[in-house]
Amino acid sequence: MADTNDIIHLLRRTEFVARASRVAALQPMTLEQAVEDVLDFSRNTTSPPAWMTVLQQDRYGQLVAMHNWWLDTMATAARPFQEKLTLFWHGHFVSDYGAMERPDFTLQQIGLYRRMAVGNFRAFTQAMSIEPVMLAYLSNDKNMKGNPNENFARELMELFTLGVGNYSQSDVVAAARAWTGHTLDFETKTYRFDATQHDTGNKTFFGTTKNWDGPEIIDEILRDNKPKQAIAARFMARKLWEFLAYPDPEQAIIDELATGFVATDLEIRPLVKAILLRPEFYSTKAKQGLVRSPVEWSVALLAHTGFTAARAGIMDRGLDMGQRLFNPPNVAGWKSNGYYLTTGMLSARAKLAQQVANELLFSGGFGYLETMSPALAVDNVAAFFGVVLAPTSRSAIIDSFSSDLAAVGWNKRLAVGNLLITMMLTGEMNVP
Amino acid sequence: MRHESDLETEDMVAALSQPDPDLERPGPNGWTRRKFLTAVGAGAIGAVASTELFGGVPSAWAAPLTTSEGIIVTVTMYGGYDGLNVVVPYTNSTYYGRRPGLAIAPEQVLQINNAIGWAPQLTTLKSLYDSGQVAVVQGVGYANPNLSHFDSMKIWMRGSIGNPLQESGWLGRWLDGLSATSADLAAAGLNTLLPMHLVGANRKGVTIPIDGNNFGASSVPADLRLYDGIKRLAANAGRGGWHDAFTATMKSQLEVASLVAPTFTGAAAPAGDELTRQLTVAARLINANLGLRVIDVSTSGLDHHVNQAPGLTAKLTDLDRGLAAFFAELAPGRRPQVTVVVLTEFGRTIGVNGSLGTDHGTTNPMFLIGSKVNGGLYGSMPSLTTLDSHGRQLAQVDFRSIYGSILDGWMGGGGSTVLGGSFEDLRLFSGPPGPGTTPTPTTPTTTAP
Repeated sequence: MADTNDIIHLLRRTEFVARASRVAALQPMTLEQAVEDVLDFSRNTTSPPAWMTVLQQDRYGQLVAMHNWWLDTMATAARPFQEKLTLFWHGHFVSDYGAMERPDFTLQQIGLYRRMAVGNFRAFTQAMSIEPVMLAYLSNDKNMKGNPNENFARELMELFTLGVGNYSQSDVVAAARAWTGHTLDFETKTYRFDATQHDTGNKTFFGTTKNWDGPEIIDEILRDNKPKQAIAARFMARKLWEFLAYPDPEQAIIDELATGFVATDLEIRPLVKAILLRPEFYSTKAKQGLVRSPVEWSVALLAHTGFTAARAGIMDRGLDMGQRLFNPPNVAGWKSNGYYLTTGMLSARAKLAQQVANELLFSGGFGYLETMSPALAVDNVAAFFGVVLAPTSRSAIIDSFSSDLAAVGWNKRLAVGNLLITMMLTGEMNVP
Repeated sequence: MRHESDLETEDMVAALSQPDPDLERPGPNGWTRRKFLTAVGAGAIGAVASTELFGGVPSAWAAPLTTSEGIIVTVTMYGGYDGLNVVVPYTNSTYYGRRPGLAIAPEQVLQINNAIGWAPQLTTLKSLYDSGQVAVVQGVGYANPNLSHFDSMKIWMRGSIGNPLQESGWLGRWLDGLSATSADLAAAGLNTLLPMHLVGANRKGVTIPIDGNNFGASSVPADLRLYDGIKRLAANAGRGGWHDAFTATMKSQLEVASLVAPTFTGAAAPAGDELTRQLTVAARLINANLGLRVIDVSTSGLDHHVNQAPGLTAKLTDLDRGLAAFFAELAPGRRPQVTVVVLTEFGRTIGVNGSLGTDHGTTNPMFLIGSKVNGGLYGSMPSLTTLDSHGRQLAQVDFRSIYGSILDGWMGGGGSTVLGGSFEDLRLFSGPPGPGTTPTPTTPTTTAP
């Protein structure tokens, strides 16, 4: 039987929160069985409603609905890890709703990311490169013979596969030429290969000269060129580790994970499983190592309160908190930890916490807290939010709540409201 | 053939709005008290033991300025505005020859001299210039420019070229060098994302939402108790450095909010475009004398690869209105210690491209505005015919000279430390910040291009 604290940590990092039912289900298992269980995406049976997959007249309304549907799914899916990984890929193979303002195409792209979240990385890279929103976002739809646009070619290597310093400017130029002609149909805006705009001349890419075509570039990076494939494997292993465990991992961990990744010909599922089974994943450094991003923190609130994203008003706060779905800040995606720790962004989190607290009180809950002992009340609210308070935090909050109760007189709801808000803004809730 | 990435500048701005993650990692034993607290802009509190953090706002938080401490407002225009259509060479045949459909007609230009003039939208800037309060530094860039837009932005915000150690911004490093008490609330950005130039190695600026709708701004007793309760949690909880960094930032947020709240309550909501609203709030924050010495406002969308004219016209209108609003709002008593600095990345191409836009270039004019600015033209407009190997203009003034001249001439010094070297003193100021006798300004050279 795996250690309960490790199970809770595993669930927090994969399913956003450690639901009691999930802890109970995983507790009798070995760690490996538990990891297999969180990866059992066959349990996820919901999909977006049919209307949402088709372009609607009210595009922004559709976008809002998509945003809320996805957050709700993160909070309520049988195996939310699939959604968390989809979020990772959304922030890795980045594009932005604003590139085309086509909610249907955006949903289609996210659907690809969900389907391939633990699939083959090379197949995934091929597929994502011809998604309409990607072609538009990185301007490959304007990449034409005689007037090449390097945007996509550069980001393909710099941000999507290899990282800076592992290719040259002339490789970017060659890759851009190879990707000419892969564009959007003028009418339908779906992917179209326009041979008349494709540069069929010889290009020299990673030292090989031939008439390279776009998809062949991806194969060259991720299959046929062993040194580059190894670099890509380390690049992706590192990114996934930093997303799931902690930033700036030890090189030895990454090297081992990358070796395994190459050995499976870049299958993502075994890589993720290997990450979740490493002892370092269960270290104190890992358990204390990640600040919940705004989406992760919001989903935790939804999961614990049972509110929908619409009711909690998440979308209106997203940009101010520093993260809104479908709107990454740039093609490098969202950063982590310190990136979210600015006064302005935390003001936005706090205002969302106020909103959620108001909703909780409005729905008539927590009245019973008013008559409990302060210590019991605090423990109750902490448990409600899945928070395990450090002793110093706990005694400080009990003390504040007691003084607050004394000061408010008859209107104890004010004190309860403050306690709810405070709990959502603890270090334990934001760095669980 | 484009050499540079065609990324939207907003994207790059955000990419450069925080240091890379590996600067943020806690040490093996967790962060030292001073390091994590100063890293979230809590300044002086870093010098104080954690047990003293409880119970009350440390008086060090509000450190009003004397009238002789220099203040800058950086107006950061992301994307690289098209300088040739801002300071226009209206008698230059190459300019007209290479920009059919985009060049500004000579009769529309607001003349500076018989060779250059302002874009027609810049009436406020012209009138400030005519009263000697604007320094136009021409041909700003650096030698052997990097053609990657992304890399150029990094260089510009960091104030260093190719130095791998300088993963921080120039004003952030200035902030690092302040004494602990002066660092409190010394630098603020008025946008959601804190820009790289306000991030130092140990300190970073705060961000203040300009709608005034900050958490922590209420003075209702129940809310004050809430805030106190949250602030009490900023202590070593024994759960590692990130936990403590979070609670310390929440505490900073509350303290900044209560400090700036009076600036917003009762005041009319700032009106106009985004830049004008930010500049209005910046002036109010300066008037409130909270200790702020650097305020950054910004706008993006200057990266006009396609159909430049309407976009640039709109942005220049916003800039001009914003400057008018700023100086109208700024208390007269503060004027002698305030300089506005308009910054952007390095320029655009001389010729118009196939989409009635311009692509990334190498040099631009930048502006300093204030009553203590040594007004006039600095440097000369780079030639439109003698060009570098990529067909772009040759920079005349290293951008670090501007930073150094500001740091040493206006912000109390530290230029060579911040910039990792000495750069030309451009003598941009007619005297130190504050009232007091102004020596006769020397007239800088006004060379026609």
